[in-house]
Order: sequence, then C-alpha cells, then structure tokens
Amino acid sequence: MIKSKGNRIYQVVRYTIMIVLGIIMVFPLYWICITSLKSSGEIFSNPPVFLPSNPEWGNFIEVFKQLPFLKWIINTFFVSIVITVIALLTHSMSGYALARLNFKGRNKIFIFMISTLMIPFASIMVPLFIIIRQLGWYDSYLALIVPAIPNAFGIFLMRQFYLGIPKELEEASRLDGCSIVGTFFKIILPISKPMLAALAVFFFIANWNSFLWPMIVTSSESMKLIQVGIASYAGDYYNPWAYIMAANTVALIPTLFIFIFLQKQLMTSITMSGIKS
Amino acid sequence: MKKAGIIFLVAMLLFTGTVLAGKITLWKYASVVNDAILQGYVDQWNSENENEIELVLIPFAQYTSTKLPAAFSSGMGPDMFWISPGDFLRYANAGIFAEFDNYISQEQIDDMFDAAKEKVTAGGHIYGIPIGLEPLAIFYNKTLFNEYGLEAPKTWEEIFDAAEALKTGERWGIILDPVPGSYQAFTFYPWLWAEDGKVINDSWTESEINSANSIEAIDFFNKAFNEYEVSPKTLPAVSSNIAMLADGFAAMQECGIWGVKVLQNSYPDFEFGIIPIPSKDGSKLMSVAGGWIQVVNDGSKYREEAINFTMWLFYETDFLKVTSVSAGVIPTLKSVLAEATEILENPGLAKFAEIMEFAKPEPRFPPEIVKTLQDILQAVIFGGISPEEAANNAAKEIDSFLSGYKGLH
Amino acid sequence: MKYKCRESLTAWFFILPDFVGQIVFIMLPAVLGFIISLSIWDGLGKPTFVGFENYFKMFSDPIFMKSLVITVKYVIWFVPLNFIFSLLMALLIREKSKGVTIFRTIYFAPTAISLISVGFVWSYMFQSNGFINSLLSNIGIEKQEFLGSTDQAFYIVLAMSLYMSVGYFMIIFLGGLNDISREYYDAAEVDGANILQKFWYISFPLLKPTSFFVLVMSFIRAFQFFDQIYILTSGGPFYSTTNIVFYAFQNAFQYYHFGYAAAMDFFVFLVLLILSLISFKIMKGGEIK
Repeated sequence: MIKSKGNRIYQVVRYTIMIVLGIIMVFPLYWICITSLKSSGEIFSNPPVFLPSNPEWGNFIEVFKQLPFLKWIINTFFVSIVITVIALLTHSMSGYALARLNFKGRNKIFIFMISTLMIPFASIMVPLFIIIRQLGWYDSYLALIVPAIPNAFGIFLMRQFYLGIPKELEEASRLDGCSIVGTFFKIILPISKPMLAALAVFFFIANWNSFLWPMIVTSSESMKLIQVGIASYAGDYYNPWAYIMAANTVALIPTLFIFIFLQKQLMTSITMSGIKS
Repeated sequence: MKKAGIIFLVAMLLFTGTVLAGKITLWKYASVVNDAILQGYVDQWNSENENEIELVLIPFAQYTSTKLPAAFSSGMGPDMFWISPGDFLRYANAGIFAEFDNYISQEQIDDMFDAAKEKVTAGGHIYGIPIGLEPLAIFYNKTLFNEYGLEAPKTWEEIFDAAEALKTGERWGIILDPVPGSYQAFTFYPWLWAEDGKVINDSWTESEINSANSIEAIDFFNKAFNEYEVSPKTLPAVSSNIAMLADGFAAMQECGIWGVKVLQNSYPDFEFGIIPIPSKDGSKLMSVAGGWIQVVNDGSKYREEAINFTMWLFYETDFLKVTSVSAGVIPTLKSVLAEATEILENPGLAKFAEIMEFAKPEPRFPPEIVKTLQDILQAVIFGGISPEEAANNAAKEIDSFLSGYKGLH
Repeated sequence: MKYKCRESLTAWFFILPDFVGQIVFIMLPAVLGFIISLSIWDGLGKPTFVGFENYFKMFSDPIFMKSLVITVKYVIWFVPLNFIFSLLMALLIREKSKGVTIFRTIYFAPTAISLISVGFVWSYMFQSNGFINSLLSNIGIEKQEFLGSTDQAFYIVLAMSLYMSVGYFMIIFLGGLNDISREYYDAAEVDGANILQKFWYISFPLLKPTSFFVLVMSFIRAFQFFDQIYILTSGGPFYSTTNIVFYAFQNAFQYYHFGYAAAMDFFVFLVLLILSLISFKIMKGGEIK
C-alpha cells in the first residue's frame, strides 16, 4: 500500500484515540493490581499511593494460605467450562434453526426466547430456587450448571450471525445429498468459529464471575465457586481490601488467558474460513 | 377473580415444603474472627452425639439480605441460624423461632445483661441466645489530636470544632455512615437517644421522630455533612471499617467495638482514643449495642437437638468467652465477662465495657420503619430537605404503618 | 413436501433443549413471580391474595415514579453511547498494526473483572477528595461532589456501566465486521473511496444484523441495570440512581414486600416486551434486505 500523507494523519489520529481510550480502560485495572500489593496503612491513605514503596507480595501468599483458593478455581473452571460447551452447542443449534430453517411459529418462538431476557433475575430468583429444591438439586452441580444454560443471549447472537452468512454454502451441501443435520455439523459449525469463540468468551466470563445464584443455591464448601469464596473475605468487621484485590487479580488471570487464547479464532475472517473448508 | 384465586392457591402449594432431611444445619455469615472457633465446638459436639451438625458459612453482605429470605420463603430454612436484631421480629411474628422457655433456667436468663436479654425476649418468651454485645462509639486519632493540641471532644460543638480543625483537602473530620441502608439507621440511634429523641413511643402506637428532640439529632447529621462539610458523603467511606481511621482517611470515626481488635492487630503502632457519643451539651452519654442471636427453627425436625446444642454451646462450653475475646466484643453473659480478663484488661475494650453500662440494645424495628429513617437521612444529607420537613414526612408514614401493625414488639 | 416436513422436525429438534430449559428455569419461575405479584407476602408467613392492588400502588408511589424516570434516563444515555464507543473501538483495533493485540486485550479486560473490584476502584476515584478531583483541580476545575451529588451520581453509574460493557460489544462488532468480505473494500478502494465513505457505504449497511443485536441487547440491559447501582451507590444519594429493578430488589430483599417487588418486575417485563415487539416490526428482526 502506498503510504500517503492522508494515511499517515489517519494513523496518528487512530493511535491517539486508541491510547486515550486505553489509558481510561486500563487505569482501574492498574489500581486493582497495586491495591493488591499494598500494606495496611496505604489503602485509604490520601493522597493515594500510586506505587507501593514496599510491594506486599505476601498478600498473594496469604490468599492461598488462608482459603482453599485452588479448590475454588478448579471447581469454577469445571462449572464454567461445562456450561460454555453445552451452551455453545445448543445455542448454535437454536440460532441456526431460527435463522435458516422454515417451520411454523418460527417468529413466535424467537420472540418467546428473546422475551426470557426481559425478566429481571431478582424477580425469578426465589421461585427458581423453589423449583431447584423441588427437583432435589439443591447444593449440587446440576443446580449450578443446568439453569445457566438456556440463556437467550447466545441464541440471539448466533441467529443474527447465521442471518448474515451466504445461502450458497448450504445449498451446495444439500445438493450433494447432505441432510440438514449433516450440513449443520459439517459446513455451518466450522465456519461459525469466530462467533463461537466470542460466545465462548462471554459464557466463560459470565459464569466465572457468577455470584448471586451460586451463593443462593449451594451451601457446602465443596460446591463453592470462586466469587462466592472471595466474598467470604468481606466480613462483618472490616473488608481486607488488599486480600480481596489480590484474590480478584488471581481470579482475573484465567479469564484473560481464555480471551488471549481465543483471540486468534475471533479475528479470523468468517468468509475466509468458509472458503478454506 | 375466582379463577385467579384458585390458580393462586395451587401455585402456593408449590411453596410448602419441608426442611430437608440429613444433617442438622447451622447457618451464619462467614467471618474470619469466629468461624474456626465455632467449627471446633461443632466438631466436639459431633464426636459426642449421633446426629451431626453442619456449619454453613455465607458471605456477610448476602446472608440476611438474600440467602436467608430465599431459604425461608421456600419453606426450607436451616435448623439453627444466626440472626440480627433488625430481622428478629419478622421471624418471630411468622412463628419461625422455637421457644427456649422450657430449656433455660431463670438463673441462666438472669446471667444475661439487660441489653442482651431484651434482644431475645418477645411477648414474654425467650427465643434464642444472644452472642455478643457490640456498642458504638467515636474513635479518634490520638497522634493527630496531640499534634493539633486538641482535647477529646465532649459536646457536639466540640466535635464539629475538632473535625473542622483536623479536616484538610485530603483528610475528613469525622466519618459518619453515608450509605443508605439499615446500618446507617443503626449509627443514627445513639445521637437520637442522647438528645432524648425517639423513633416511636414505647407502646408502638405513635411516631416521635418529629419531636423537637428528634429533629435536633437529625440536624446533627445535616450539619456534619452539609454545614461544616466534615463528613464524607460517598463510598469508599464506610463507618464500620476502622482501617479508614488508621490509614489517615479521617481524624474521627463512629465505629463499633470490633474496631479495637482490628486496630490492635493490624495497626499496632496506631494510637487511638475512644469517646462515648455525647448529647448536644455533653450532659448525657449514649450508645447502641448491636450483636447477633442464635435461634432455632421451630419447624425443624431436629428442633430439640438444636436447642440442646445451643444451650450446651453457650452455657456449658467456653465458646462465648473464646469467641468474644477473639472478636473483641462484650460477651452477653455477666459470668463470662467477669472471667474474661483479656477483655477487662485491654484498655480499648474496657472503655467499651464502661460504655455498655448506658448503651441501649439495637431496636428491633420492622423494615418499614427503618426505611423511613433511611429516607430521612438521605433527604437531609443529599436532598436539601430540612430536618423538620423530612421528619414530618416520615412521621406520617410511620403512623400509618403502626396503625396496621399487629405483630410483637 | 417431504423435505419441508423433515426441515421442521429438524428445526424442533435443534430448538428443543434451549426451549425446554427456558420454560422450566425462566418462564415457570416468572409465572410464579407473577402470581406472587398478586399478593402481599413477606416471604415468611402465608401470602394474602390482593388482586392487582400492588399494580395500582405502584403508580401512586413517588419513589417508583422517580425510578421509572431514572430507568428511562439510563436507557436513553446508555444505548447510543454504548453503540458508538463499542463500534469505534472495534473499528480502531480491527486493522492489523503495531500493538493492536495489546489494545484489544486492554479494551476487553474490564468486562472480565469482578464487580466488587471495579466498584471499589470507581468509588475510590470519584469520592470528593479522590484523584479525579485532584486531576480536575490541576486544570482549574473546582471540586465536584460526584457520587455525593444527586445530579452527578447518575452519570458516574452510567460511566461505570459503559466501562464494564463496551469491551463486550466491541467483540460482537468485531465478529460482525469480520463477516464482511474483503472484496467489497478492495472494490471501493479502486473507486477511490476514503475511510469514512467505506464505513458508511459498506460496513454500516452490512453490519445491520450485528447492530440490531447490539441495540436490542444493550436496551434490555440498560433497562435492568442492577449490579453497578448496588455496588456503587446502593441507589443513593436520595434515590437519584435508583431504577425500577433496583427499587424492586430493595422492596423484596430489604423491606420484604415480595408481592410489590414482583409487580414492579412484571411491569419491567411488559414494557420491555412491548418495546421490543415494536422494534422488531420496524427493523424486521435485523435481517439484511
């Protein structure tokens, strides 16, 4: 590409905006990290301590020593991954059916599904809790996993995505004698990778950080998820903010790792991957 | 309409359930101060008894606000649980608490401090055992006061003067609680009572929040936040977190007895003083004592065992002493305090033991009344509404609520 | 004929898992919630059936009416700002160039932090002697009350909502942008189109399904803001940040008026449903025509 003057100006403007936005976005993150390294006496001091003179790495060691942090991480990882994998499958199926398959009442079903997003969670929390107890699922993985799956966010996202892909791909496959199910799994799913990667990131993070529902529906230590565990720090007498921030910094690492890991998938052009297959 | 009623009844059938079989459950909020101690006694009980007790710990902020309501609204509450005074009457009115009358002797009742006894008594019955007494007072930064040559304040005027003198662009004068909620109302009671103000009359028939005395106390908050501007209006200021005083965020702070142990453990070099909350002219001293109560679910299939465990825990083991010393609070039983030298010989805690002599127990007002108090403080601090007007509005609401209230008090 | 029948069977097979899940775990509880809304219930005793009394009560409750206005205000501010910023970010980091991967991660990271930490930092930044104010004083702006002001607290809550959400929708826009074939842009470049023209004539129209998704989702979210209010202001000062969903939560879990709270939540649902149906009609479900 020829480097024109206009292009250079554009790049300068672009980077300026990117950096300004970047500073705004990263500052709170930075603050969380340094708070986790502060010793008592520095957390609420004013003017604020921007760089702790003696970083208290011991806060991180304490977090792992005081509480079964590793166990919570493993537990939460398991729950989040199971939810994400199942949800990706069912949501891409539902989304595809709603976008591409003709059946009676399609629009009504779609509206029904979207309408589930409009119900404030607090209003169904108690009734849902009653249902879970009637099913005998209280304090079990089922209670943590199953109700988290049918989230219309993913269905809606996948439907919008499938509306945008060219029809020719499926038609060719069907002419080859492939069934609808076959076409979906062999042709459609592989080209959905970027959107599935995006959805995977959302589901993983949402469930990794999920708090209120796991807190309501479990009671034993073995069922504890990470955010419920971290919340146990915030006590009746005072909040040890350095520990809470250290715990949350550790909790942030897996989510960022997942994001960086899926980033490549996210950035591949859909049409490109379609042509490749 | 009839049809709707039938659907309604059918649906409500879903709500009736029983307490789950299995272990005897004991619920409390998670706390680094006493969880391990309590677990030790539970283990001891479990090794000596057939039916095991399971201690369930729930994050503090969600314990009474969502976890307990969700459990009880589905008819499946725990067998035993800890409850705060603010929730006590609602559960008592719903008949959820088991009576201790036949299990506790007069001697054992008389061993409780009056403020503690009041907390667990309703309609002439005893419903549970009080765990600790946690009075409020004003903590101040002694080093700062010395530096500025200030004496510990004894009147409201002196509090404002000291707060103004010590306030800088980076330090507040005095932290009073700014966050709307029941805790804010709790921190307001001692100022109200010190001025002989009241929320409602003793027979719970009429509000007194708009009496001249009550309005004077509301005006104290108004002045602190708006006239002198010595108190922070927003988070992260939380008056219960004594770390703010030690970190130099403020020069004074209204906080509970628990602050003593936190300061001594985490800030050993920090020098602080404690003053009781005075009336306007300093002629009267006041405090309010919070503290949790262990109660038993009357519908529990282990009701009897749960009561036995509770009585054993508080009257036959040294749990109360150990946990009170660890948390740095006043034990609810006179005989236990008399033996707790760690508390009586700790200058900070001993000061609170003195304060406890005139402290009143936290009132057990229903949430509707607490809400009106919260509304008054919010309206006055932030809404630019005069204390008189806010109090008069609240009085109307309280009166209309009381006229329909038929529960215990 | 045969194919059509098979198609509709397959469609149902595809939809069934989510559909059943939604009925059991969302709609059934919602119906129970509606039934509760017809009663006075403190969560402990027996509920008393009162018909639609809670719904009438709502409209004579000044705090509810105020929270209704604030709910609308959140939506009006949040939806367009969220759209503009997340699209802008997606466009900025779409092109491969130096450091873009880092920016992408930074923009996304706030959506992954736990609420309690974000809330702590924001309350710390925006207290009246916090460092936003010291920044402002450096450029000669006088001290602001921020979270302590009934006028400004709303905008802080709004800003934190945007902070926690734009990275999320940025990813969705990225997905939508990557969906657009490179060929369109190459052809436009041959015609000498500039960046703005390329955006306006190619990206924007072809982004319609994605845009529709972002608008509908951010609208539904903004209507139900809860976490950020709970953590930052508890609805204060003096109800200036309390929206309907938060007020309903307070009524249920602080004042224990479960029936009244359920009525408010049902009202939110109804309004959202009606508005969404209208927007679906206008935008034809976000399909590209």
